Amino acid sequence: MGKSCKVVVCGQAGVGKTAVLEQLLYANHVAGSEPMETLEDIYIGSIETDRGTREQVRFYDTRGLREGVAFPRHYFTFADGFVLVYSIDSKESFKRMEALKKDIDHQRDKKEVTIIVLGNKLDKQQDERRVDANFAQNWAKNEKVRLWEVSVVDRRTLIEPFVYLASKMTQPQSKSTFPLSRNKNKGGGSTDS
Amino acid sequence: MLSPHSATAVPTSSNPPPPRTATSDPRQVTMDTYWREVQSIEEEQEGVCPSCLFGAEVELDEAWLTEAGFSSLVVGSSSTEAPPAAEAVLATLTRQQAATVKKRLDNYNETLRKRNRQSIRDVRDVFTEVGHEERHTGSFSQTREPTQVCCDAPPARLSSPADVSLSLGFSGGSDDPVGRFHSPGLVPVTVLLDMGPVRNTGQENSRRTIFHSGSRSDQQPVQDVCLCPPTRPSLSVQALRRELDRCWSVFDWTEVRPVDAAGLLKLFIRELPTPLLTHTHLSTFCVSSEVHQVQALQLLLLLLPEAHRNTLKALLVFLRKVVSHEDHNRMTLWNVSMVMAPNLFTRCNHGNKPSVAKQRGEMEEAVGGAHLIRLMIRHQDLLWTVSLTTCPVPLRELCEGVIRVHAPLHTKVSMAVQLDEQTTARDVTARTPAAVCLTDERRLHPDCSLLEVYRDNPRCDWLVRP
Repeated sequence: MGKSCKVVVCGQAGVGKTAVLEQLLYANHVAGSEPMETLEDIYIGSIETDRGTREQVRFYDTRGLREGVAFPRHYFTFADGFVLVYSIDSKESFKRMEALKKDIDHQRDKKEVTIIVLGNKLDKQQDERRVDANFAQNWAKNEKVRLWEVSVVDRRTLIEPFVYLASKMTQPQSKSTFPLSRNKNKGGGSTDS
Repeated sequence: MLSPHSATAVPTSSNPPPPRTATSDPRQVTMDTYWREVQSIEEEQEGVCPSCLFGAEVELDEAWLTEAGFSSLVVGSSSTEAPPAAEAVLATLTRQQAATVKKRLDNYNETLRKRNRQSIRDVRDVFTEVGHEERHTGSFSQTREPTQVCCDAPPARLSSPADVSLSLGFSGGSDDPVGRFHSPGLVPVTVLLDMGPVRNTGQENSRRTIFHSGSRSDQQPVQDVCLCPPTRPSLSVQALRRELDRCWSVFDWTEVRPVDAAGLLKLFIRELPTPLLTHTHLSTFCVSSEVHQVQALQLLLLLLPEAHRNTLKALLVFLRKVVSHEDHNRMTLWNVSMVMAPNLFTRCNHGNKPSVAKQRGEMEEAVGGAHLIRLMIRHQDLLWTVSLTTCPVPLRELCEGVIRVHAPLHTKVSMAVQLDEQTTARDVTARTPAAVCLTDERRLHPDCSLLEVYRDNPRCDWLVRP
């Protein structure tokens, strides 16, 4: 097992970043529980990739962004991957996520980073939805990132995005495997949305 | 052939600026206060010890000479009459024997002379009162008997020419070494020094000392109420210090002259077990003096131990108070800075080779230190409020009562926790299923208030253990 990858989880305050991580890693999160503001927590997760290997990933759960609070620059420099989280019941959280994606593209320079986007709170009532699912997927296609709508209530929705993330980050840099894994992932993405 | 004493005294004598040129350049005039303070510190440090430095050597020679049957040449402390001329005694010996004895004798006299030269430093005691009286009465009729201070060695030591000239310097040109101190004006002293065949180190020292005393007398009014070098240097301050150490709680400050109180304060600062600005950060303070950035100072002060920071704060408040009475005591901000600088920035490099580069270095150090103190006094209100934007992340966490808890055996390996009055260990463990410990293996009770623990151990590591 090589070095552990560093993944920064970021997004607007209250979209459920900590909930996603804790449900993924502990499977004990109770939806609707009183949110505790995160400052910065670090988790170590072991994820089985689609190649069958187990990879260690360090997750940096960051402080939720608010109006006027810039995302700390130092996260951009050391992250191997990002999990951008928004809530499907908040247009504002989606916009903030968009801005973060721009920032990452701007800051990462030539460094290879893997970005996945999670639209959380899929369990909300349909009339509370503010971010259209197709709109979000089109945006993701343009940005060439993968996007899943998930719910912390249903832990299974969380598995695939993170397996994809771990697999992509630890993917061997040989050309032969590249087109194969991309095809496979494309298939996975379409069924999910 | 530098004695330990004269070696330490060289930086003093090499110190720019030469007093005579001081009046031409206002900047140099002002720095003069700094050097005066430096010198008074050095003098206090040297204090009484030098006479004992030479003791052993003298005794050795004395014993040798006595054993060889030349006890008449030896100046015992009990002896009252001057020894016979060495030439007369040695006339009966062979040339070689005479040379050997002469060598011993010379060495003996030389050492004695050096030892006696020490007392020259105490000349300031003589002039102290003189300065006062010059101002008030314009007469020296009541001056003390100088011999008590500077001619405490037996009169016989005057056999060497250099001795004579130095001693004469303080006895106003009188041939009688124990004569009264009738006219100790400064001019005759320097004149005597100029014509006397005095060895160079001694000359430098005494010249400086004397000039020093001279410049003091015209600044007497200032020093009556200020922090400037004490008029009666170590003696009274040391006595006060002993008194204060003995009964600090009932110490009567009303009887203490402001000058002595200031001397005590400076002595206290200098003799702290660790310098007020700490060994670790002292050099950084010196470096930042070139930058003069309040912001850099703010961060640097955060690094000081709390006791040091509080003391410095109290000191700066006090100094500002002193400056606020500037009209009264003539202690301007710049004067106070100059006087405090050598006390706070202990000069460490006492080399014994004065060179131009070194002098320049010392000068820069002096100006830099004084500027830094001035900056701290002037902007002291800014120093203690650190804006969070200037704070690097770890410091910010410390400032806001945020701790980082590590749980190496858990999935959640690390978390930053904002503490408030209600935060307990249980709250933290609720976020990870285990107990919270400190690194020193203190296991915390689940209901333990973490903020209290944090205040007691702001630097401790927090661990979650199963």
